[in-house]
Amino acid sequence: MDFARGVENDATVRNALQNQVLITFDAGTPVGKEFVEKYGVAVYPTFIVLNDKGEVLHAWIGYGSAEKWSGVMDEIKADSITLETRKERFASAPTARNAILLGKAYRATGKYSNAVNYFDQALELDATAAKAAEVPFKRIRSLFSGASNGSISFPETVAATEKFLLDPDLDYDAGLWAANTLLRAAGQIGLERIGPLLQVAQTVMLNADDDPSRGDRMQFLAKYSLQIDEDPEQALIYCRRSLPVDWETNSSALNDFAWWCYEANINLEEAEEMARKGLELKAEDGFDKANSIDTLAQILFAQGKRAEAIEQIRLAITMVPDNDYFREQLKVFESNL
Amino acid sequence: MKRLACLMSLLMLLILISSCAQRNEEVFVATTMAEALDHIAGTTGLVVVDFKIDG
Repeated sequence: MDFARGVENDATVRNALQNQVLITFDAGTPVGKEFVEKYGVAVYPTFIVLNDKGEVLHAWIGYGSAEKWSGVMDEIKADSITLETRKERFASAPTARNAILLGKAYRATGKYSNAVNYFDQALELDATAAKAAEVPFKRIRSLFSGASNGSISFPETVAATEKFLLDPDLDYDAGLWAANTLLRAAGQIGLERIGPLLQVAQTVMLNADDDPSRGDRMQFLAKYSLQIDEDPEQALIYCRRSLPVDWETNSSALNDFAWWCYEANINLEEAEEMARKGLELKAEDGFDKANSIDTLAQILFAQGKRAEAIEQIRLAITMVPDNDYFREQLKVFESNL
Repeated sequence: MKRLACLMSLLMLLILISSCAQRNEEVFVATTMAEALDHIAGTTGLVVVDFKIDG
């Protein structure tokens, strides 16, 4: 459930807003943009709490859940001091709790260097509490945001990311986020600068002993093999490993495999075979099946089998006649005849 | 029977009180920052600014 629905229907959220005032700004509107710039907001949703003088008390990113969101509100209502006062309080009597609150508030308002500084202090003061509050992940996200807007230097970001990835307590979901972000940024930053760090990420993901993240780690390694090592055979091996054990009899997994091959533009013959097999396993017509037909149509088109691709996408359109995407696909295929 | 009717009335009253206690409070939604600040002026109330992006 998102925040708007929570405000509408959830008693926990509504009670947290009792005697308060809610105002929503859409960053896509001129007024919204003005306030986005004023408060340095860069991620949505972001929440900022102000007192009657318009001073900032707290700011944070993400709704999470009704309980999580209301928990933050309750904490701020119980200790409703301004951000500046909290900063002074922290300077005279540092606590991990205030360091975490300050780190979150500075991150949410685009002051990434300050955020990293407070997150570092939170980890020093009480590593257990800080890790429970996902501070290492928030810290690395602040570093990347700071590096991308130039407020944090590239060498500092690289050193901190390496330390983060090599932490024995690394949360693999957070590590994966960092690894995938680095991979996406590789083209922009240049392999000569980011290559060594990416290699660290690859080694960590390769050696990780974390079953829940296995599929996603293998997906990262597949992308790494394709993009960095330019080794499609190895990429294919990792792609297969990323799939569930029953993937050859699982229509969704067969479609995922076929789509991955299509996007990587490799192994298209087997991809076609697997896409067809996946379709045979899908009993009911509808959007899901039409989507799998689209996968097959794309693979056929990529192999130059245009007439068959058109036939398939027409079949998808008969299942979901109002879908604009499938109609656009038909136009693309037909215009290339 | 009189005692049962009395108990039933008491039960109805308890249900009514309980449902009133659980009733969601109205959320005041402002359309401008000036309106939001004006609404809480001189109180301990806070302005919660929700930044979202549509589309």
